[in-house]
Order: sequence, then structure tokens, then C-alpha cells
Amino acid sequence: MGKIIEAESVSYVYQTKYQKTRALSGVNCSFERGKVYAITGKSGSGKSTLLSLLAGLDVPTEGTLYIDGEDMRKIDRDAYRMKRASVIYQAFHLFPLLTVQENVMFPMELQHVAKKEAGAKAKEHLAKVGLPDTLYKKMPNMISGGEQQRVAIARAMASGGEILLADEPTGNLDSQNEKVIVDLLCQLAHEENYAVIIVTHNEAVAAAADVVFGMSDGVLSVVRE
Amino acid sequence: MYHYIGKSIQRQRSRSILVILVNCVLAILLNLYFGLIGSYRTQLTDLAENTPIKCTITNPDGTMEVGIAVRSDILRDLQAAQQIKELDCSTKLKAGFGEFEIARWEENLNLDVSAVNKIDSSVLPDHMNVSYQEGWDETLFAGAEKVCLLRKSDMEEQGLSYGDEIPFTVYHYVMVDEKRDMDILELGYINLKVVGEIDDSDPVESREYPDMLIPFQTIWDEFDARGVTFTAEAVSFYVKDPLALNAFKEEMEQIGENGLFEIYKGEGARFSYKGSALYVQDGIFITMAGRLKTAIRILTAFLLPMGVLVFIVGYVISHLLANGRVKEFALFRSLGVKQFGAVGVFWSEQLALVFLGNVLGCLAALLMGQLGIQDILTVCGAAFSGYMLGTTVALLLLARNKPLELLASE
Repeated sequence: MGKIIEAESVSYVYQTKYQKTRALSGVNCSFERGKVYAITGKSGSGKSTLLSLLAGLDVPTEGTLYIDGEDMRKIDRDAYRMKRASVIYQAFHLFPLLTVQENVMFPMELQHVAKKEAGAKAKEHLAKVGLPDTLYKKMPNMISGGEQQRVAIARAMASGGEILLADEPTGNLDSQNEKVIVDLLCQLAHEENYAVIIVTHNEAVAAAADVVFGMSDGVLSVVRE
Repeated sequence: MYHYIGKSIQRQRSRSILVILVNCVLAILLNLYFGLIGSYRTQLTDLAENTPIKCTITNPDGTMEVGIAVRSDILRDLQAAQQIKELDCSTKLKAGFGEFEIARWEENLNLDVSAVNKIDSSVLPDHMNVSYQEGWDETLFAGAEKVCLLRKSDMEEQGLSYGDEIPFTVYHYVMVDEKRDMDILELGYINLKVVGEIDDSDPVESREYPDMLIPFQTIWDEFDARGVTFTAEAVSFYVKDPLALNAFKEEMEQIGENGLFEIYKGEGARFSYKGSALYVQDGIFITMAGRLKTAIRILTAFLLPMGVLVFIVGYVISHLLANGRVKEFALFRSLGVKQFGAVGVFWSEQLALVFLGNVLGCLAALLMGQLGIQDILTVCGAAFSGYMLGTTVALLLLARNKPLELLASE
């Protein structure tokens, strides 16, 4: 199975007016489709920074990040996020003004999919993540955290990409919902061939991953392969 | 994206209404502000029409009783002047019917003659009606026809009727020294056609008014034809455009430099050796116009601060609203919407609300009726532009945020 993302000596420095903070130091790693990866580490270790680089929200200060062999610096990173990589957050981050179904339709509307078709596909994705259709017209603040995270996963699926980046996706969930979400992410990797990369400090989530990386002071190491 | 903008406006009603209301109020306030400036400007223009500035040629010491003797070269300059209107000239003469010797003046020189270039209440009171032969009217005084108007009683006494052409012996006044002693000299015989009569049915009341009226230019031409120096006894006129008082004064000073007269203003005139003086009654106008101009100047000075204020209101409100939506912005970016595309969503939303607010403000301003539709549209356009400029700056600052910093758990 081919590598979809490859990091080569990636470093990242946060630079403010007064100080420089090295968040990542010489990170080397690669990610393949069909697998679940977990990046574990303490708060402030650089996990989310690596995730933002993998999502194309920023570029490395040093080193190179390749997406299907192409330098991340040279590709249209907005188009990459729109069509290939989706991010799921701990706080869900659904559009508060849109209904559940509209939230899932949104990435498709950005790709100019016809409204009717987007609506039908949104229902499919919502059904896949196990949400009952009674919730489709509800606003995000009217459903539970677990349900919101499932909507976020359905939205990530709706963009039609192959990379799913999850930043502490179970951080705000109880253990029951945590298991549902982790199972769902594993299912997406193993059955739908997504490359799922989860940033977490939850050992149970890491245990479900196929590959586990550990992050400490910006240095990445393989914990389990 | 258009769906999103529509839904955002619709589902965040209170925020949308706030932006609309703020812009509506801003548009109304700006219309009131410009309406006030417009009102002062209208008052200033009206003041020029309602408070005409009368100018009178006086003696060098400011008096107007006798011996003004305005020379014909002054009159010609005034006739050619661009900054004056309603030039009013007259001169007084003595005349008698027919031809007679100077030795017999006492029984013959019994007509008080006024040569005028127009007839108004200063020449004859309203109750002394004037009637004209058919084909003639009061415009005859602006011309130079050899015609005259006589008192009805004199016409009856002399057995005259309209159209009769009769000779008059005319005498004119001359100032003999600086103490204003007057002499009277013969001008000569003039044939004049009677084309009108003055109703003097109340002889006591009408005693102090002229017995005969002649066009001013007619008598001036007679003086010139005989090589006699012509002078007018009363000359007054109005400033053509009181708002261009400086241009008027420049023109008068130019005439003054030719040695014709000096301009005096205020309560009295100074003594002058130059000749006649010009008394400009502009005190009231200048005081009132000065107050209005000061008010306009003060209000206009606030123009830039008002523009800055609108910009700041736009910036602050948009900044506060944008602060509550930074995660929404970050989410757009996270989903692959380009930086300016994400800003554009919020900007377009504000644009629609601000536009609606200004439309309502325009309608309210129309109802107030202070300004015309074109002015209202200009003012609302300025309010709209200023507010949107503030909004643009606020949203561009929002775009500087890094999405993951706003959305990440760490």
C-alpha cells in the first residue's frame, strides 16, 4: 500500500515578536491509506502542530512534507483540505447556524455539488455514522456531544477525501460515545480505505490504532508498529 | 456560499437587526447633519435675496441732502459695472412752458422737473396715480425718448392733451462753491411730447412732488448735445450678488482708483477730497451672513471627523461581531475555503445588512424632507462606504488568525 503522506526532517518554529518556540524537531514519518495512526503525547508536545501541518494549514519551517510524493509547499493547500484531507476536532466545530444535514452538505456545496445531490449524499453519510434521520433538521446545539462528533465525521466523509485527521476526537465524550467514535474511525480506515491520523493522549484510543507514534518535546518516535 | 450568507442573516436575527439599525441610524444622522448644512446654505442664499444691499452715492461727508452732483463719468462706469443691479438715477431741474427770457423767470419758471430712469415710490407716492397715453407705459423712463408726464392740473390749465408736443425752457442747478450754494442756469428749449399725466387731485399732499417727469437719459442727451456738464442728484443701486461682496467691492475700488469715488460703509462716511462717496448698506447683511457662514464653517469642519466616526463605528461593530465568529472563520479555512473567500462570506453578509440599513435610512431621510433624493443618495452612499471600509479593515484583521490555533484542543 503506497504512502499518502511522508514527513522528512520536518521542524516547526512558532515565532512571536519576543521569542521563538520549537514545536517540532526533525520529524520523520509516513502514513498509508487503510490504516489508523495514533499520535500520543502530553499537552504542548507538538501533536496538534504536526496535525496542522498534515492538514496543510501551515508549512514546515524546515524539512519537507510530501502528499502523494508532491511537496506540500507546492500544492494548493486549500484545495487539498477541501478535497483530500478533513479534520475532526475535540470541540466538534460544527457550523452553529446550519442544521445537522446542512453541515454535512456544506463541503459538497463548496465543491459545487448540486443541492439535491448533496442533500442525498449527506443523508447517506449521516446514516453511515449511525445518526437517526430525526436529527437531520436539528441545530448542532440541540444534539449530544457524541452525535455532534458523528456529524463532524460525516462532514469529513462528505468532502470525498482519503485522509482523516482527528484532533482529540473523543476528548469531550463519555466512554460509551468514545468507543462508538473510535470504532467508526477504524471502520473508515479498514473498510473505506481512509488514512486516519488521530492525535490523542487517551490510551484506549491509541490502543485501537494500527500504528502508534509518541511525541515528546517536538520529537516523534514510533511506539508501536 | 450564498445559501450560507442568507441562512446566517436569517438565523442570527438579533445581530442582523442590530447592524441594520445601526446603519439606518447612521444614515439618518448623516442626513440630518448634511441637512443642517444645506439648511444654513439655503438661508444664506435666501438672505442674499431677502436682504438686498443698497448702495447710495452720497456727498463726500456722507450726507445726501443737497449738492451730490454725480458726474456723468461715474454714471457711465456704473452703467457698465458687472456687480450691480437696479441702477436708480435721478436729477432735478426747473422748467417752464414755452419759451421765455431769463428776466421773466418768476412768472414762467414754475415747474419742478425730475429726470428719472424708473418710476417708483421714491419718485411719486402710490396715491398719485400715473396714467399713460395708449402705447406708452412706465418703461419709457428707461429710454431716451423726448417725452414727458405732467400734472393733471397743469395739463387742464394749459389745455393740453396726450400727444401734444410743446416747447419747454429748462434750467439746471449748479453748485457754485464748496459751501454748497446753488445757482441756476439756463439749459435751453426742449420740445417734449406729453404721453402721460400725474393725478394731483390732492394739491396739498402733492405739493412736494414733481410737476413733470422726464426720462433720465433724455435730459442727459440734451446736456451732452449742448456741451453742458451733466450731473445726477441721486444715484443708488443694489449689489447684484451679496454673496460676492468682495467682487463687488473690487469693482467699486477699481472705479474708485479712477478718482471717481471712495467706498464707505457703516454708519457714516469719512470726509474725502476725491469726490462723491459710496455708502454701502451691508452691515445687516454682513452680520447675518457672517453668523450663517460661521455655522456652516463649524459644521463643515466636522466633515472629516464624521467620516472617521462612521469608519470607527463600522470597524468596532464588525470587529466585535467578527470576534464572536473567529471559529466559524477558522472552520471555513479548515474546510479549504481560501482566506479571502472566508473573509468574503462575512463581508458579503455585512454588505447586505449595511445596504439594507442605508436603504431604510434613505427612506427615513426622504420622509424628513430635509434633503433632495440625490443628496440623500450621496449621503447614504458616503455612510455606506465609510462603514464598509471599517468593516473591511476589521475582517482583514480577522483573516490574520491561524485556523488551527483557533480550533485545536491544545
